[in-house]
Amino acid sequence: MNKDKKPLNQFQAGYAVFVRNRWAVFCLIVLGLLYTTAIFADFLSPYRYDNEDRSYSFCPPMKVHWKNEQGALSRPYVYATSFSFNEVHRRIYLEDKAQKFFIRLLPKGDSYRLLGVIPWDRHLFGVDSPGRLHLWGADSRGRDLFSRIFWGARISLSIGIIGVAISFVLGLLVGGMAGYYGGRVDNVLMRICEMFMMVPGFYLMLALRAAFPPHLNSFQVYLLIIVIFSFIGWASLARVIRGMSMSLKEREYVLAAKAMGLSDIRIIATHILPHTMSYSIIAIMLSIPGYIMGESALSLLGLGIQDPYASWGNLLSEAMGIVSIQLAPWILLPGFFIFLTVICFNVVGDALRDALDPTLKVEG
Amino acid sequence: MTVLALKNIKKHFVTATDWRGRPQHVVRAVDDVSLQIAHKESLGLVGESGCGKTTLARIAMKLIAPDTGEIILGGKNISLLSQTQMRPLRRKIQMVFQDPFNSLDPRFTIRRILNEAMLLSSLSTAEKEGRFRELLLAVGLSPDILHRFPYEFSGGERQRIAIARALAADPQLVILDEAVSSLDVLVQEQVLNMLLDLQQRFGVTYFFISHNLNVIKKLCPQIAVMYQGRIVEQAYRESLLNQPQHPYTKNLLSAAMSYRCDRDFVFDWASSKMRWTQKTKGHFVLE
Amino acid sequence: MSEVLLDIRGLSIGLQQEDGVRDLLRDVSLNILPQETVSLLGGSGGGKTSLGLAILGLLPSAMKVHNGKILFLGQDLLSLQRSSLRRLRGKEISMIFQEPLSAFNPVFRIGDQIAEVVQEHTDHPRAKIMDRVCTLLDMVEIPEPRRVASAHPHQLSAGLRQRAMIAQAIAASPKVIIADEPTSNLDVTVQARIIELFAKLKKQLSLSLLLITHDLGLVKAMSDRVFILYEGRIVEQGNTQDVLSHAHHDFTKRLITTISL
Repeated sequence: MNKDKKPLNQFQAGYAVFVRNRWAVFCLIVLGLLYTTAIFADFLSPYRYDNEDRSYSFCPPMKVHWKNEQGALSRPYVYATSFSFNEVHRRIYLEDKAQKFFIRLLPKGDSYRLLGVIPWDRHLFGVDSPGRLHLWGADSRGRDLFSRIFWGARISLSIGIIGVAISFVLGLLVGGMAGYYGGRVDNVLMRICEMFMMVPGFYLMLALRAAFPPHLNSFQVYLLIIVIFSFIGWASLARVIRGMSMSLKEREYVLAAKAMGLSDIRIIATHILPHTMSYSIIAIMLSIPGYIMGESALSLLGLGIQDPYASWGNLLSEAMGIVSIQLAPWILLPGFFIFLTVICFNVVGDALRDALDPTLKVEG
Repeated sequence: MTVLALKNIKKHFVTATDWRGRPQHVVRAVDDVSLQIAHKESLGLVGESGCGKTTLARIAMKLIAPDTGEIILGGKNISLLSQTQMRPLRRKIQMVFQDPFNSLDPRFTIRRILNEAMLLSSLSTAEKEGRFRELLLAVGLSPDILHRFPYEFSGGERQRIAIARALAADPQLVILDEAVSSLDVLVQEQVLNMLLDLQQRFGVTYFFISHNLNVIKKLCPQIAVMYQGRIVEQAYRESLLNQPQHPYTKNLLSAAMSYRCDRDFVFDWASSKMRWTQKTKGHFVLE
Repeated sequence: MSEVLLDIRGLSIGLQQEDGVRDLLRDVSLNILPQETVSLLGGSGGGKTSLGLAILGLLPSAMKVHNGKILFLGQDLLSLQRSSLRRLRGKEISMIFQEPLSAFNPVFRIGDQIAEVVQEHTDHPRAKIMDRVCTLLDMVEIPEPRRVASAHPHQLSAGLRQRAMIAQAIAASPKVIIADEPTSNLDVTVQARIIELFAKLKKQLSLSLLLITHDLGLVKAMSDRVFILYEGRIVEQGNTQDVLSHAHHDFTKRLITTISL
């Protein structure tokens, strides 16, 4: 009757294509690591994001020593740091070789709630006070950049995912319905879409932000940013889904479903929208970087996440002066992470597009 | 008992309008068609591409609304029912489509396809499973295929699945729109024989639409001939094949039987009085 | 002169699948003489079409010829260089496909696509090519040839498209035309007229026709000899009349029952 081969559905076939792309797998792992650090930021970093010590202002990245004075291997340690002023009254930091602080595993530190639930106070690594460990340097207030970058990941990476989830749902629903019903419904929905698409995204974002009071607490700002981004993002997805929906509704299995008396919403949800997945998933993956950079831009301008909370965007705002960059170049590190995340999403999104290509030999 | 009656169905499509929106070119897809299908007396509708038969089928299923005319299903006038009101009645009239590759959702397993047809039924899950097995066996397929996907099957097998799906809803009438036209002759033969068996077993009536007389004559005791949106002749099988009356029917039969037909056949409607006349018992012609 | 035009000897073609190689054709032999129509008749399943493609060297990469020879006027086509094969295609042997909508490029006009063949394979002067195209369209009984030549494939009916494809096939006056299911998508009346057209062209242009189909009625109406293909092998062959009236193989007998009207 039919061949005995294992049924290869679209996902299994797509998976096979995806894993052949080494770069995509690598980037996917990197993204996985980034999101893991975001989730476990409080555990993985030695300090809380607001743990400051002005005596370490703009402290450069500390050298971790692996050999002791005699040249033999020892437990990693840093020296205490003291500062003095140079001829232009800038701080320079010197290692005070008198005091050694060993880097310890699972020391006690700032308390927090792991995964938001379990109260704990041990961190992955750190040094005993009064020593401080600044692997990637410190900012103007002496806050550890390493810790702040990890904490910042939480906001920057999550805004992308949550914002995209909302646009995704909105775009699919609106596009699916507009294409399926056609006529007046289609007309009205598409004109609304176009209104949203008309305004350049960045300006719309600023305008929407400006419409709200400037001094909201950071959590409210966080939600607001997500809502604003979803509002901008759904329209272009809706337009494409609408086109696909219009052609898909002519397929005979849709007619068959209508003939069986199924409700419209059911038909759209089970027969039409799943067939737009190959496009939607890719559109989503490729738009996440836009959200991350949008948040960074907003926070950079002071309209987004405010101090003391960290996001990669507002961390970069410290780097706005050329003087700071020259004297404390480690301030630019959050930019590298934005770059890394965006590149990885693009590579994975590209590979997903190839993997979910409908011309794959799936439908006989 | 009449399963389906279509009365004076008209459907015109405007294909071109002038700058003011007034219709310039109208396609008379279905032009005053009346048909009756009696219980267990399958009707075959034969006509060439573009004669309007598919449009008529979709109108009968209420997938398209006619411009004028009435549709009476099992004695009940369903012409004016809304989509919501139609829903519980839809299961009574099901359709098998021409293209086996597009009529089953490629992302659905066979089980899900059959289950969808029975969504409105009140059977329990176990009873439904039993019915799936019964249906698949009835169409000559193994019940083990429930977890497979459509792309794993050949055209003929997919049509069987489509037929099983149509029967799942326990309909009174099954419309087959060119259902075997894309299969090769041997598979066609098998499927047609199967359809005859199923008719006995499930007590359904067929409304078979095709351009192929060979196929229709095998399945349908009553045949209607459609030309340019109108029914030009309708008769019992033997009567139509042996004593065709309308010039178009004669031309069609000649082409189908001896692959010879009138080179410049064009039927001039002006020469017809457009009267539906009964020639012999049960044999009607549009003169 | 009845020198054999096309002589296929012991051809075997295999299809590469994930789990091994499947035989499409096993040791198939058939021949075509000048000015005759030969049919290859069998059920659907890819074997018949692959024969047609193999003759012109158009097999997809997954299908390979294992064995056998395809001799055209004595020359083995399987061992020809690509460039020689290209010169052969369209000029000596041409092919008509089942689905004219996908065989023509939807972006270009019909006339231009036929003109391509004329230009490539004949010595017609540039200025006269369109005239030649219209002559060809006229030969296949297309009304208003100039209008059709400037139309795009989707603007024509299925019957006209099929005729246009036939015009393209005869453009370079080939000796053999391979027709793969030429009428299976057409209505009966259109089919009948295409069959008449083939008969006319055969006589007018001294063509041979290799008809690949699953429709025994078509074979009966059109061909002189028939080769019956079942599960990749030729199971019966002979004059169409003889085979149909005295069928031996079970498969042939089954096929015969399907054509009764």
